[in-house]
Amino acid sequence: MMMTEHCGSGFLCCHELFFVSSAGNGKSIIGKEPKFNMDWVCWNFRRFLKEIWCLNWRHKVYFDVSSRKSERNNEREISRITEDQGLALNLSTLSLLLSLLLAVISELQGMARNVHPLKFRQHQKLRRRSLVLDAGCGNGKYLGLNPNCYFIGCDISAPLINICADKGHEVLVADAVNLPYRSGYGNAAISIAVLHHLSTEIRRKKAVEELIRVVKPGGLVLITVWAREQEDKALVNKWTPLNQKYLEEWIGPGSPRVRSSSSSFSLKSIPETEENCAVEQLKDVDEESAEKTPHEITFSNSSDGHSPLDSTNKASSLYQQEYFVPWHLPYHRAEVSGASVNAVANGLARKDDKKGAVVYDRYYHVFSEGELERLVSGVDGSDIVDRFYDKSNWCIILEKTSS
Amino acid sequence: MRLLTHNMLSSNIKGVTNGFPLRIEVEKVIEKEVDFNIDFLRNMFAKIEWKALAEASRTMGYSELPDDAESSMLDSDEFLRKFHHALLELHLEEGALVCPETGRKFPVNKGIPNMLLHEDEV
Repeated sequence: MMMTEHCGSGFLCCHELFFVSSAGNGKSIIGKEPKFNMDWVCWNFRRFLKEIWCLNWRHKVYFDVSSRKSERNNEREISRITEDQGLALNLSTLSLLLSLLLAVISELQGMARNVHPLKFRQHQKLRRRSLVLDAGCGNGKYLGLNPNCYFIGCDISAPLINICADKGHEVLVADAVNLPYRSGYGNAAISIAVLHHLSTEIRRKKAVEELIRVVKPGGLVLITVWAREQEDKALVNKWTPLNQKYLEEWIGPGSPRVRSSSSSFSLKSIPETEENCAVEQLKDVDEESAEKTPHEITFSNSSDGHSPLDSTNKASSLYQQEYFVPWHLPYHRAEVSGASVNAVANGLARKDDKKGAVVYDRYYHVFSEGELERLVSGVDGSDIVDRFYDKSNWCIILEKTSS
Repeated sequence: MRLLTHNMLSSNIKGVTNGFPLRIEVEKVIEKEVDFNIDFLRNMFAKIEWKALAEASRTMGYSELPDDAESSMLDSDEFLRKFHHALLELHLEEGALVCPETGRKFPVNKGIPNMLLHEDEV
């Protein structure tokens, strides 16, 4: 695999990017040691995939090597050539892309098991014209991501579903734990960053059962959840562990309000525009943790006064897994509806004058290594096709069995 | 809400054994043109409960679908066009979906069905 630095400009077909043998007479770029660390490579590769997914394999990629730039920020720039429905890349971007592809090839050879573009495999296995059900679609980030498939999304949050509908997506308001779908209708189902918002193992398991139920035999289910094993370990220390009082009220065996306290209550208490932003930004954290921008998503330092979790749940007995993850809503956005004022008054949110933001806490049950596998293993009717760790998320792909 | 979605939806109220199909109450229907795609229609035909689709489309004011359909009809372009129109281009913009067993109404506003259950329905 060779690529030249001085070959002017030209076209490559997308599928050729995987099989570039020679494109000129300059020196090899990707033959050199990768100069980027794997995290960065992985992250950028996914950025590229997002773009490439919008393309047909036959679409051409335009590359221009006349303006090579060495700055990282410049290397990240990509722009679409709309008239060709192709992708414009300068040389440094192209060489980076080739490095990334090399990294993936290494991965496929088992050399770097944990470098894994999130939905790439899911995408490969999905046949064209499939019906994909997104349970917990949020603001519709993944609806329509694969233009060859038809998506129907649902979310428990009506404000988020309104955003999806405004974008033209086919959506409804429904609970991922109790999908109002008849069985076997979808070719595939996806649950991206949803299960960690459910506060009991029973509800998480029910959500998995529902995903499997609604796809046809042979259909695929992709599940991703936040991992306890965050790549940025310092991050975990900045979350607020739920103390014993919350555990008893929220997930304890005697809790009479398990469902209502965790979903309806918080949904009502956070006004529309704010919730939209909250979920959108948190999903961004899930999917592209490297893109976290501290000025937009800042994490509280106040983890004082909370004792470690002493759970009877075997899967989580060794670790703290229940957290409040703070989300900061800047004052200028919070004042739009005035609902934040009520939230603060009711103790549902607090003000942080230093950061100029109202701080909401969102419930998370972060998954420990192996926990997602154990959870889905307790559900009949599917086989694990693949499992992997991707940017602080545990991910799993299931295939519904035929019987 | 398209009839593609209606054909998937089922009342999941606790205790309901046959929540499909939901009866449609129409206040407003709109039509939106969608690209015609034979592969998708063929894929969907196997999943579709035809009687529910035909009945739903009649309720929505479109009476061109036959009462019964079998896969051999997918060779007919005329049939495919009608199937396409009913499945993807008719939208229930305002109205309700009614559980066939309990009569519980699920509202549809701005084309969005709200299928959330009350606490005592779960």
